[in-house]
Amino acid sequence: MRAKLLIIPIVSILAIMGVIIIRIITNKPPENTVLLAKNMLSEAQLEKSSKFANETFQEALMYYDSAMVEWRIQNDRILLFRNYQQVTAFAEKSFERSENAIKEAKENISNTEEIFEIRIDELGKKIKNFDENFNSFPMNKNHRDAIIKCNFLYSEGIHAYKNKNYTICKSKLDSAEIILNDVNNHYVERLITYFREYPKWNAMVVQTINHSKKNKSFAIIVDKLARELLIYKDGEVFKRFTVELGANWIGDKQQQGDKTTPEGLYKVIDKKQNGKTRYYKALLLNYPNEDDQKRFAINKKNGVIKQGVKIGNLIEIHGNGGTGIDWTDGCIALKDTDIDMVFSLCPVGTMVTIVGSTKSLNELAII
Amino acid sequence: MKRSFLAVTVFLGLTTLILSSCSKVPQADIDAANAAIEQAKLAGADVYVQESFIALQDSLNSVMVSIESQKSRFIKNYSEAKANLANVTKFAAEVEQQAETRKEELKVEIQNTISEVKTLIESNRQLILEAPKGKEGTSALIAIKGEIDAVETSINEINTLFESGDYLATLDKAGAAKEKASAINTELTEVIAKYKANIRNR
Repeated sequence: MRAKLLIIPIVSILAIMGVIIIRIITNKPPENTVLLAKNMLSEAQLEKSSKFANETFQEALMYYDSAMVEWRIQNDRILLFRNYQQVTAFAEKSFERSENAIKEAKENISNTEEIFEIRIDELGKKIKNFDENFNSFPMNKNHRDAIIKCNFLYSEGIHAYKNKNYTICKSKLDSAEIILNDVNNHYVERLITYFREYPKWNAMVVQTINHSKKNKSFAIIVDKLARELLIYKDGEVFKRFTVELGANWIGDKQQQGDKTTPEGLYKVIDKKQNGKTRYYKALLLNYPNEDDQKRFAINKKNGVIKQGVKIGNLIEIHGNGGTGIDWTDGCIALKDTDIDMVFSLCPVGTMVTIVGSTKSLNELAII
Repeated sequence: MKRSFLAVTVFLGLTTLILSSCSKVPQADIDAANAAIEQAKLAGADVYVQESFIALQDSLNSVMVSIESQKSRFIKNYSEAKANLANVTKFAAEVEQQAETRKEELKVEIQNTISEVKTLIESNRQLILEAPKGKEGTSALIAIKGEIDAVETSINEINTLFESGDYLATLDKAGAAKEKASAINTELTEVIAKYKANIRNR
């Protein structure tokens, strides 16, 4: 009877111990699942997900931290009452988010690189266009410095892109573009204003060509914007030469020393060579003509031009050119080999028409 | 019989107690590893040796998983975790050193680039003296001088950035300055050559 009484507690204890052992065996900690989540999280970091798929990466990180916190909570409980289901669920979610973050990051990096490549290319073209369109424009120091700064920022942006510093790259390209747009807009406006004279220029060009055709003679047309001197023979283009102009070539010459090449209808009044000119050979023009003198008088009367200032003279088509920059005080400079040809072809009395452009803004497609 | 049953129960209870609680979480080692990682981060490891830093964080995470795993067990053993934590602390010091080395390399690279830019500026200023003095050269020279001045100004900006300790951004800026200075050098050389050729042809 006594032995029978002892059997009940022993069996009970053994049963409890059996349950505990079964629980220990079946309730395994989620080590492998958490390790997989950890590895994937690490891979996501290596793939720069924190930068390129930050939202998804942060979710992955949060789920991983939650898994670890939950694991600690469960571990603090009595062995029998631990439940790792939530830990496993968090770890699995973290794994999944990390996987997604890697995919997103790879896609975004590829897109970002593509976007930056396109942006760098487009901004490069814009800078080049500005250079081609306006580099020969007389620029003030502020604008020149701004363009230098823009080129610098652009170059720094490219360096940052190559080093995969996309944030810096973006900021540099943004700043460069703002500067470029600002200066570009200024010169576009200036060009539009300048081209208000186009109908007048066109009429002079037509008049000159007709004169050459009618008189079967040579005539010269200087296209300031194109930096071209065209020799017409019997109304047809016979020769083209590259020219250099006054350093401040935009607009019509107003006064002596403004370094502007005049615009209007002129003619050759003298031919100089053999030491009579500093510039190898020269065709002297009749600047100032009647129109120039009238305008000068009106401007002086209206106070646009100060008293005591002279209108200027000695505007020539001469040699010593070929430097690639505008450097004269208002004359038109050609390479010595080119002035040789112009000099031999054009006699005194040859019509010389100087215009801002022989083409309209639409034809030039600058804007 | 009753006595022996009690003895068995007490023995099992004590054994359980000893096996499950005598081994403590190596908190001091965890703290030391975390402190070493923080130190590596302060040295800029997360910026200058990013991959090593990620590997370092990953190794600590691995140890933390193994610690939790031990805590989950009936019989705990933290000796391996302790050894691994010591390795993490050692690895953190190595990563910190790697960051310092990389920073030193960058510093040298930046200083060399700055020195090259300065040499180019000097050479450019010399070339300016050789450039055409007539009015046909003046306009071009004004523009080029402006560019040289801008490069010189950027050297000051590079130095400021260098002082701030942002070596990657400094290197970008120095590289751009060098490129610009080289371009000016080429441009000036070409301008002078063109001018000389022009003079010869007259």
